[in-house]
Amino acid sequence: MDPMHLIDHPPQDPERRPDALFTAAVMAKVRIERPVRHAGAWWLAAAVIAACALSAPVEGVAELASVGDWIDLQLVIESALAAAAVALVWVVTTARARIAS
Amino acid sequence: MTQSADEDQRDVARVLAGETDAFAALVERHQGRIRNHLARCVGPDDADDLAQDTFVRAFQALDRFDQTYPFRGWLLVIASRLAANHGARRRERPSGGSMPEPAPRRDDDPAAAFADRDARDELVRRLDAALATLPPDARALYELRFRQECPVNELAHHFQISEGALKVRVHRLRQALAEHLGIDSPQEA
Repeated sequence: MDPMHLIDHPPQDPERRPDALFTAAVMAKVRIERPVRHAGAWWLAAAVIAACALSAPVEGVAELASVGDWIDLQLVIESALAAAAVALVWVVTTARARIAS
Repeated sequence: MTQSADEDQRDVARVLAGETDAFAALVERHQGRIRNHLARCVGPDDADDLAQDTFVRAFQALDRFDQTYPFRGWLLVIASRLAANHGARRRERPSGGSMPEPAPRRDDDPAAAFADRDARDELVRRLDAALATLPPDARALYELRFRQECPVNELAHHFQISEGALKVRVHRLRQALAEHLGIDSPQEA
């Protein structure tokens, strides 16, 4: 047998029958992952925009006041907003995943 | 377009329209080929996990699938990318002995058939050993082009390189394999 012919035409694998368990496993992942992924992305984007929008006035006030304490307050508020955004994303994505499954 | 390709197109459209369950038909239709391909690329132990990941990734990216090309080739390329990443992480390759056995064939002359089959089996074993020496991405490309018989233009499209560049890669692959099998200056297929 010509070895080059074998390289160009390697033996085909025997056909496998569809496995219902395999299909079920894929579909279980598919049903859960897509809503979470999409909802997570949208809600994260919204939360980041909201946090930025809300922190801007705080920063402006701090600059106008020119008071050192305001800077600390700004950090506290921004941290709280960030934590709230993360919590919101977690709650929403978890709820969507449970509904989807 | 083949019946299978027509069915793929119809099922993809249904999934994109929101019928998630229609994806099960695509999984049923293509799982055998994808699992075989991954068993060739990464070995049977990890093939099924990667095959599941392949379908999940395809589902997530379905809105980016170019329906002017066959769904089968797109899936195989996703599987190959996963296999190449997996191989790069593990830095180990499956042994030739763990590959699925080739399909049996029929011959008219039993004595000649045995001798011929022995020689052929030996060549197949050497080819598998040669493939095991290739980097994961090169091995995946070989499986796509030669065992799965994906057309050059389709592979070039999915890998986002020119057909010329793909042909050069394939040519180098054949050369490397030919050297491994002790053949000089292979001719173009």
